[in-house]
Amino acid sequence: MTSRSWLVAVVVVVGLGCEKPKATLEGSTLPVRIDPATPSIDLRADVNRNGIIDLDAADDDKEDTWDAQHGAIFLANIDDDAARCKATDAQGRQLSDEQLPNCNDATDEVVNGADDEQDLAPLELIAWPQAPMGTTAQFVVDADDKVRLFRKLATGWEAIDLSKPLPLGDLTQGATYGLEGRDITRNQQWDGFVTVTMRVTVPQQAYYVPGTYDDVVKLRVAPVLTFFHTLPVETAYVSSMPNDPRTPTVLDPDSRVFVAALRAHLMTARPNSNLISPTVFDQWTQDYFETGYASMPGTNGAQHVMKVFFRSANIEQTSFTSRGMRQAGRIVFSLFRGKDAAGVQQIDMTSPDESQSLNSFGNFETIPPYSLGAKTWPLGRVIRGSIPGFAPDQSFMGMTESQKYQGPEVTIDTSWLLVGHVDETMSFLKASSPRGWILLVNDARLARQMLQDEVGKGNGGVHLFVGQKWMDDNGNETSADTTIQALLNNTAVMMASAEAAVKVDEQLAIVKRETGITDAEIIKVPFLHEDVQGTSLAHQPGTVNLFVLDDHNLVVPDPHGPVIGGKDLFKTHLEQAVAPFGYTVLWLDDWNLYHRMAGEVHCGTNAFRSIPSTKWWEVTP
Amino acid sequence: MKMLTLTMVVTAQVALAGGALEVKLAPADAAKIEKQVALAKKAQPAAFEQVAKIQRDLTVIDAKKRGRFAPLTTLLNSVPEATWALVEAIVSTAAVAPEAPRTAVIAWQTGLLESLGDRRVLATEPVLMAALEAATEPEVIRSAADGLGRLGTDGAATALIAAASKREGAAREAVFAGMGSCRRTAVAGFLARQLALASTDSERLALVKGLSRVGNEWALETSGGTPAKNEIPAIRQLAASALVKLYAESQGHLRQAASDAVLVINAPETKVLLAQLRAKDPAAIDTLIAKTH
Repeated sequence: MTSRSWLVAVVVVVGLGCEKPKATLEGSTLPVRIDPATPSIDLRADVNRNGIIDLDAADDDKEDTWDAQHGAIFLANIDDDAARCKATDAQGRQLSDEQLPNCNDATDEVVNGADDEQDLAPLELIAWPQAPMGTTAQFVVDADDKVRLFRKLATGWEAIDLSKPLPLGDLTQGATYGLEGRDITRNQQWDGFVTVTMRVTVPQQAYYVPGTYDDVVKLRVAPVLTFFHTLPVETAYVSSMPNDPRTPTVLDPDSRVFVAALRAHLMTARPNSNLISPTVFDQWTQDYFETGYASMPGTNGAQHVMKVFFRSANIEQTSFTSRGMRQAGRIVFSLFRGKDAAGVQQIDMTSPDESQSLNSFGNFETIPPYSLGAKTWPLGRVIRGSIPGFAPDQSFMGMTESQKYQGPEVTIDTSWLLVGHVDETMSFLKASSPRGWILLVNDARLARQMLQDEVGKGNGGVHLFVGQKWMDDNGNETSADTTIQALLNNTAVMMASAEAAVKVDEQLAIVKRETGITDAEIIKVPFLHEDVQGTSLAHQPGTVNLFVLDDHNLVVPDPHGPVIGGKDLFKTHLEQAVAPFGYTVLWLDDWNLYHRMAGEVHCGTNAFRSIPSTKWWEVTP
Repeated sequence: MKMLTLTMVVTAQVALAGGALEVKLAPADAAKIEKQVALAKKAQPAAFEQVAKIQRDLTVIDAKKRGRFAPLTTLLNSVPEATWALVEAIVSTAAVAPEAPRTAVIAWQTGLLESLGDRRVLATEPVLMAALEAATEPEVIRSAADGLGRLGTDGAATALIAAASKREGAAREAVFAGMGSCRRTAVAGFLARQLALASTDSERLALVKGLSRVGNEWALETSGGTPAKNEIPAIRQLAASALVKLYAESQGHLRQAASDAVLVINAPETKVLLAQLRAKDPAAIDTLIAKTH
């Protein structure tokens, strides 16, 4: 409760008072002098973040400031609780990419049911029964284009017209309001804070000092946060891939096999999780959307969570002369948007074709939580491939940076890679260490050394990639089978691998500098690269490009390495490297659908993970 | 086989939209190659069919790609005995895929050129030279230079140096970046001299790329790394000297690129070369010395 005397525009005369003609005291009639009182305007929010409005001081103290200890929170109400938003028009035609995002619970002026009501941040105006006739009350909101206020009625909710005063009954009887964010922060122009003021104007009368009184509450919109690999999978995603876009109902046989194998691994390791495998002609499930969440305080210490799905800011060439947004990304609206789930897209359609690959979310990972010196990232920190002149969509990066809690983003050079994604060379795993996680990083030098060692043992003639084929899966495949010696003698592979070893060192130096991670916390993952169009690509299946299911299970691409003594050299190496950290490797053959098309298991999968126990509002960005 | 001798393209856009490279061969070369293609078609029809199949599937393959381009080089490399099938595809004037996205066309053209070069068939030298001459898109120019360079012949080295000298701007940089696959002293010396003369960072980066590849230690250790094994020490020394100098005299991303290239080349004299320039920036020089094996 805050009465702002500095806003009181009244003249208070010393000795001013009024003589009430008659007041009855125990039956006698005596003249009584009463000084006019100062009104006490009290707008409350969930300042102490326990999910409810408290009527004691807990939700009143410092309500006009905001920090890690206190301050009210609201959600951008961009989900679709009543499932009213469509991806097609009345004639069944697809909505355009511009139209598609323009529907969610914040795009109308109604509260769409009980679920939607849960997404409103509560505000309470404490009753002032003695409010004199003629008193007015009105909300004043400093960022009124960012939020919408609703007033609770006996029959539901009504949107408040901020240009008009509230009914006097709100003041005299008290009232409940709900505040929704109309969007997440998109750039640095809005810091996510909103100041909501209850402004009460008291007219000239005898009982209260006339003037204008404000009670101010400061709130912050919940940031959208992305997941890191140390959180277990709740829902996994993998595309069911048609063989050809012209025949969308005919699934690629390799896709069927891959989805089935992934499902088997998931159900074995995490039987309570889900697998969603939408049919979409884009097998790069990691790339066309990113999962995240926004949360605000719920009751009993819980977080009230809204899932958020980012559509990738990819522009694809649809013909020689036309370009448009990556179509598979529509899924964030057409499939994922719904109850407690939002879709978000942010794109600059003028961004250059050359760097579009960087906008795929294989190039958007989140380093698990850590501290470095006085700085701390309790909710992790985003890492992307980006260098000057070869960078992801700046409007999208601006949006994620504006969330504040997982930035500034760490950027590394991925321009030397054909695909250009951070997940091609590194991954993060949970570990029982002070940091709580370790880094897996590609090491072509180690791969070459392992193979050279085998040549030294007389195993140069042992085959790799046995039974695997290069080529499109429509037929006319050719054998990928080679030998250790032949691989070591492949000029393009050796050239690209030598470059990769040095470039990964450069990436690693940045990650070490930005996180403080030490060599003891790094596992080297051996595989060689090849040269494609002057850039680099994993020649052996890139086993660092893996799918972390939980603290114990990793789904990793089958390296199809040389089998010596009955064991695949590269499988054995990885299994032994991660075993001390409690991990079991679940091998998955991704050669046909992913490896030979320049991706691996991580590229082909995605996940919604468990919400971190750390509440964003309790930490300082 | 389609007609081999054609007029040069009017504009890059026209050529690219059709997907044909529009190479122009000398009549004598055209006749020889036409004969080779005809013979190969009889002897290895499967290879021609496989290459044609990839071409037919180009749009779908492109749609499935992850990243900038579909890795067609790997795909085409895997087709055995396909040298002349690749040649036929390179010299063909038929539209590759008229409505295909640019990325598909670029992937196709670069894949053909790199895969052909990777086979190191000397008789294909005129085709690769003509392709380098005809290419207009930087990616394709780079791949043509790369493909030609993989032959490693004197003729390839001479043609690459001539192409780099004749081209300008982005096209010239593309030749610089691609010609590093020609691991010959002449090429290393040329790139080193150009680095000393370069006036823009963009040009310097392309030259660093070329030098990094020409002196790539691991590549040079393979049997196909260079046909001139006796030139290896000189190649590495020339490349390392130029890059060490750039490292000592530059900053930022250019210095980083130079550092990476020096480490990839890993020339025996690197530490000595660095020590000689230590006065220019002792801390930076010591950092790179510490990384040098």
